[in-house]
Amino acid sequence: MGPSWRGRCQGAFECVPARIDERWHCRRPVSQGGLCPEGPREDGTCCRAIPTCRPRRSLRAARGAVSAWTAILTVGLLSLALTYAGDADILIPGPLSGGHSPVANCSNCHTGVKQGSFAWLHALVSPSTLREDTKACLSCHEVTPAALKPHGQALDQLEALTKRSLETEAAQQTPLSGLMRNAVFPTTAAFSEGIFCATCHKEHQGRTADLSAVSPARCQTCHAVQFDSFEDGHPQFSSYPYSRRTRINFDHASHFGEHFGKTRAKNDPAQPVPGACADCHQPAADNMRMDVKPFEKVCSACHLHQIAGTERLSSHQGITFLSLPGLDVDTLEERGATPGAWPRRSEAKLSPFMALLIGRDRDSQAALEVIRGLKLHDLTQASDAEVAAVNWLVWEIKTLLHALSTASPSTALQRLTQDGSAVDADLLGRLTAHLPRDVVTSAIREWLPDLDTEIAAHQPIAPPKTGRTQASADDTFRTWIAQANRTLEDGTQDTSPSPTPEVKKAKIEVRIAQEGEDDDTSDILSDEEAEEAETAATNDDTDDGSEILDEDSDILDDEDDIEEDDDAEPESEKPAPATAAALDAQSWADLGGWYRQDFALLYKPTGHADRFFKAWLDHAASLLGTAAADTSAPVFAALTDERAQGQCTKCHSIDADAAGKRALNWGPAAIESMEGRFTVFAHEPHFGFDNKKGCMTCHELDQTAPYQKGFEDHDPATFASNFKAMQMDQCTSCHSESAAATTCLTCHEYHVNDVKTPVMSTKVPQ
Amino acid sequence: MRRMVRHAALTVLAIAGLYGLVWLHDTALRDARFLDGWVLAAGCLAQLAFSVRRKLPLLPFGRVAVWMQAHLYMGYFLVAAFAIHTQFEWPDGVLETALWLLFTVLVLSGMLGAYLTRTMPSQIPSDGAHTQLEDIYSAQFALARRADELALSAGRAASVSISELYANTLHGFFNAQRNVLAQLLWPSASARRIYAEIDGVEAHVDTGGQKTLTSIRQLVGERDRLDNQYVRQLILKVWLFIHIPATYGMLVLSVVHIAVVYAFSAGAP
Repeated sequence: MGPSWRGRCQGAFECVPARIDERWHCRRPVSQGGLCPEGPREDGTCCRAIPTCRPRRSLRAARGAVSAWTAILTVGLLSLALTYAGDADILIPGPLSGGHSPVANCSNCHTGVKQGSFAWLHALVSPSTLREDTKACLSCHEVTPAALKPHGQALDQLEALTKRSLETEAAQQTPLSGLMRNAVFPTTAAFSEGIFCATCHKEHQGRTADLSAVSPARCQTCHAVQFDSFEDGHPQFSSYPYSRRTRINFDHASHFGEHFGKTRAKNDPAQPVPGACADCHQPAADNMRMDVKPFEKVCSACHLHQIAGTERLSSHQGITFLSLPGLDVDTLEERGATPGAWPRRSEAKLSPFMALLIGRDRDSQAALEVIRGLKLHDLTQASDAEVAAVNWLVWEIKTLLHALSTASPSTALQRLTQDGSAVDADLLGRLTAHLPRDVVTSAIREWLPDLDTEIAAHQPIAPPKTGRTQASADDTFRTWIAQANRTLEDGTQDTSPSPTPEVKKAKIEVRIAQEGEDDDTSDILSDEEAEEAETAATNDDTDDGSEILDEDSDILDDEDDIEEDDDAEPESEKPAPATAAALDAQSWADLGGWYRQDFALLYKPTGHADRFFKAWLDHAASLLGTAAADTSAPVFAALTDERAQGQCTKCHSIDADAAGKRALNWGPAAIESMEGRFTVFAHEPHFGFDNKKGCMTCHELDQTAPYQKGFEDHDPATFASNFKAMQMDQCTSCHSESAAATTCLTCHEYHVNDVKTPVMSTKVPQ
Repeated sequence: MRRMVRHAALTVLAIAGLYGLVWLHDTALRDARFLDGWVLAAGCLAQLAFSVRRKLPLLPFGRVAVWMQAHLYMGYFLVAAFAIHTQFEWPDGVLETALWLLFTVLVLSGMLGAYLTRTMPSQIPSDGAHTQLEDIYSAQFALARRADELALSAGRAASVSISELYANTLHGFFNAQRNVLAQLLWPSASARRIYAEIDGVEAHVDTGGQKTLTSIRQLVGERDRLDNQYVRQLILKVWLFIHIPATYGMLVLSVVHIAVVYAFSAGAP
């Protein structure tokens, strides 16, 4: 019989007697002995009682009970722990990394998990996606819009890189592991939506865990070209670490082999010669790159005088900013133009800066283009249209000078922008080198004393249309003359009660021109006058050879010429003679800055990194490739000429882009320019090389490299480094499985555009 | 031996295969813990099948011994799978630590069981007769009754000596349980002491009494055999008191662990 299923003894009697016909009958089974001889008692109970016992639980039953209780206990303890200790404390698989320790709630990162006890179960039914969780990452970490793309780069860039890689490393055999991986777990399909943060960055690995640690095999899984390790299969360097022309044109080979030797021979303590690489180079603030020490420390001893123009190629004279160009005023007036007062003695050229300020629209630029083709000192051969253009130029210059003397520079120099929009004050300050108003007004007082009156009587006129055919040009001229005449008449009536002799003369001559029988301008001049003009033009041609004004011009010293011209010009046209005791203006400006000489305002650099030259180079370069290229190009050319003041571009190279824009390289690559680069190199850990070669362990001088030829064009990709490209052996001698690190991330960045954590936005207490 | 080597080689091969697969999975930017985790879960369920098979001996699913072998080698494989799943690191979280401890207990108890299963049966003295652990109590009780009857049936001349022997020594020997540890460490020590007592009495009884003592000596030997079988069979069963409850506890925590992983994983590949 045995115990019951609940472990209780079932012993009582050997049978349960049955009552049949008022009598009790034994019912003991045959298996237990059959009917007993005594039979049941009178009360119907069996006469054979079975003694009871206390059943012992079998081992199997006891084991089952223990197992069941263990399961129950486990569930109970877990429930209690989750209820009282909290989900986060019990379920967290490991501590967060130190940087993420401020994260208080699971739901901050696991967006599908709600807060509260057992609320995490909700995420089982309605889980979040990796994309949603990644947004939680990006709420603190700032990355590029292409963050989820491999390397955070646009797909077209990746395709280009892949194509290049396949071309250059076509011979590379994919290792067996790579083949198996690509076959069993293809990456393309799994990550079509992007690579999310948690794909590489594994959290809950402990407070000191390195979240950015990624195995080299994981790095390679997406790559078209795969290899076993850095030592085995890594593509050979092509031209590393030189990927472009140096931004500063410094020829190490010629300095080491020639210049330093010559300077050393002078034995001049003021010109020390570097004896070691570290004399010129120093670790950058990031301890990764090597910077060049400041110009003042390593270059100025030999090169500062070249900037000032006291040595070598550059001129001692400043660069002309504003000028009154020398004009054939007589011819202008004879041809009916109305230039008004203009110094006949001026031999200055139209400065490119002034041309840029004047040529603010297409018509102006076209007019200037016509003017550039003229000999302004001899306009006898000029067409009517060309005369009109020169006359327009005269008034533009006057208007500009007047504006500079009467309005703030920010208003007067709005011409710097093509659309007339306001110029940034800082830029304006640098472009004008804070040109003092007194300099302008004193110049005007000497050059054009009646400028205010003239401007008051003058109405602005549009630049003459410069047609290509003579007929159309003449039509344009007639129209323009008429317009100019009306303007003069109106101006005289309205604002100038006593017009100057020049204005009166101009009006008369305009009328003559209107009454002329035909358009043949040659008839205006008599034969004799024409001969004189031709002679003058021949003399002018001789003087045209130099771009820079000749301060010792013979013309100014020719007393006869001065006396002859005195009859035709007012006294005020003469530049004020320097007193015997005073220095000439140019010498006075030896330290740099503004000065006036003859009919020009000039500027001399104040030293290295002169803000005027730097600003104008940048500004003119930025206008190249735009609608203002025609007027900005002469400025750029004037500043980048090999004899130009400052000689900025002797060392600071120029890069050109596809649109034709230029950019000056004022220094080594900025930190920002490192973005987008896959390869990084930290110099500092390599300073401990225990050999005599030191820096030249990696940077081996190449004496024969045509370094300077790389600067002949403006393409930074065209270059020949002073140093030989590095070889893999130079790295693998240390970076091997048994020595220094060989992981991909040792030398390569994944997030090439960097990941930043923006400053938290904390409101100021109120 | 050859079979054991073959099985061990297969197990090592399976472990290496899993490791390689996990490596490939991981380097393919997937979360390999899903792969080895499910392998681990499936292996644990497969281990449970052995228990089911033992409870259903009549079903034609192969011999239990074969299942036992499979259970054993699968256990070794799962130890490796667990190490791979935990990335050979100590656990950090509370739930993970509990799981880790239970799995460790399970493994250690299983290895102890495997050792005992291989070594203990040969130490059980059978003398041609093997009594199941569940029947040993009743067999001991029957021996005690027979010893009782023998002592009472001894002749009058011998009855005093034998009765004293029975009252002072034999009754306690036949009706008490041996100390398990003592029986394990010094097997048959009690029986030898009884034999010495019987030898001392034998010289003082007649032929009938000597026959009775001979019979009692046989009963003492039988009881000693039962005691030895009991202790060793008990040990063969007792380790399961750790192994199986730990299995249940681990199953509960595993279910919770899987639920937590999927709640927090946001569908990681």
